[in-house]
Amino acid sequence: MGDGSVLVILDLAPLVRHGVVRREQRLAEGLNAVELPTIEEQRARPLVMVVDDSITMRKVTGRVLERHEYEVATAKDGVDALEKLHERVPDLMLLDIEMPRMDGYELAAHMKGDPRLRDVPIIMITSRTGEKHRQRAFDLGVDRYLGKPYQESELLAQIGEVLEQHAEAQRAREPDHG
Amino acid sequence: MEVEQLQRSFLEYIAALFREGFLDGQFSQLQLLQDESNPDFVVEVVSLFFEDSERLLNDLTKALDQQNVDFKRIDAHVHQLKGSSSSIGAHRVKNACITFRNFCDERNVEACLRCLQEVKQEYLLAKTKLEALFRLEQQIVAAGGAIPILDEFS
Repeated sequence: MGDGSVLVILDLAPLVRHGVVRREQRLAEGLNAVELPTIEEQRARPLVMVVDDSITMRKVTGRVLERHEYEVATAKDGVDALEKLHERVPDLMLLDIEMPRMDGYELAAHMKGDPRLRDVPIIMITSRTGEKHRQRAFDLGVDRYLGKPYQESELLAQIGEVLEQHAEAQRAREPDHG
Repeated sequence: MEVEQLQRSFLEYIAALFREGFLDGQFSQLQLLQDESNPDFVVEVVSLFFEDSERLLNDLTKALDQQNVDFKRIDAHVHQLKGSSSSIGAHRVKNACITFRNFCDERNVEACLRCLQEVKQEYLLAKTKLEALFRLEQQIVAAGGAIPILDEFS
């Protein structure tokens, strides 16, 4: 508005239709009909999303994270990740490259183009350790690049560093209320 | 005494699996992720590996049986099998997959068929040996003992 305030105009019909569809999907999956809020959500532990087409990788990495007090979400490829990102935005994403339907590069590019997702830090974890693959990832805005198989200590150190850097950047962007 | 004998047999057996290259350090990492809150973690992950591998090996068999072989699809399957075998420490399966991928790059059908047989063989060997290992674990637990962890560096 002219005074700088923001007026949100909602088109209710599509929102209601979407809500009905999501409610039916959640009930079909055996979940509660009401989902947790995505924006105002208060998290006791950072949420890390593991995106990898290997179920064993998702299970092992998930277990490593849970043991170190992270909450874990998983997705089996880029398309699955986008559906889940619609529900909850993680604090960080561990992302494989080679996946069916949508690979890691495509997902990273999509996220960086989405205002809601562009600030989610991404650590790529992949067996493709060549320089051109690394560079392509960094050109897309990926934060870190780890080769598989990863050392658990290295993974946890990088996650900690990236989350701290991200938190500092967020604090720096906040207006000074002092 | 029975528990101790079972534990010794277990350690000897698993040491042999490492020595013969069936398992690598990643398997030890899996064992370290198992605790009271997740007492069956290793069996769960390895069971997932078995299911996933058998699906992928079936897909590979079908893919290589086609008139027009889709090497990109085959490469994707082998990549996935390589990743999952690596994640549980199935070292020889992983290495067989690496060789397989090289021949996919060369688009060599005959070589890929040989590699598929090699991967299947290594997978079946790994499965047999891991199932024997888990039976030993069950015997130890049934006898009231704890599963020992092999210290690779001792």
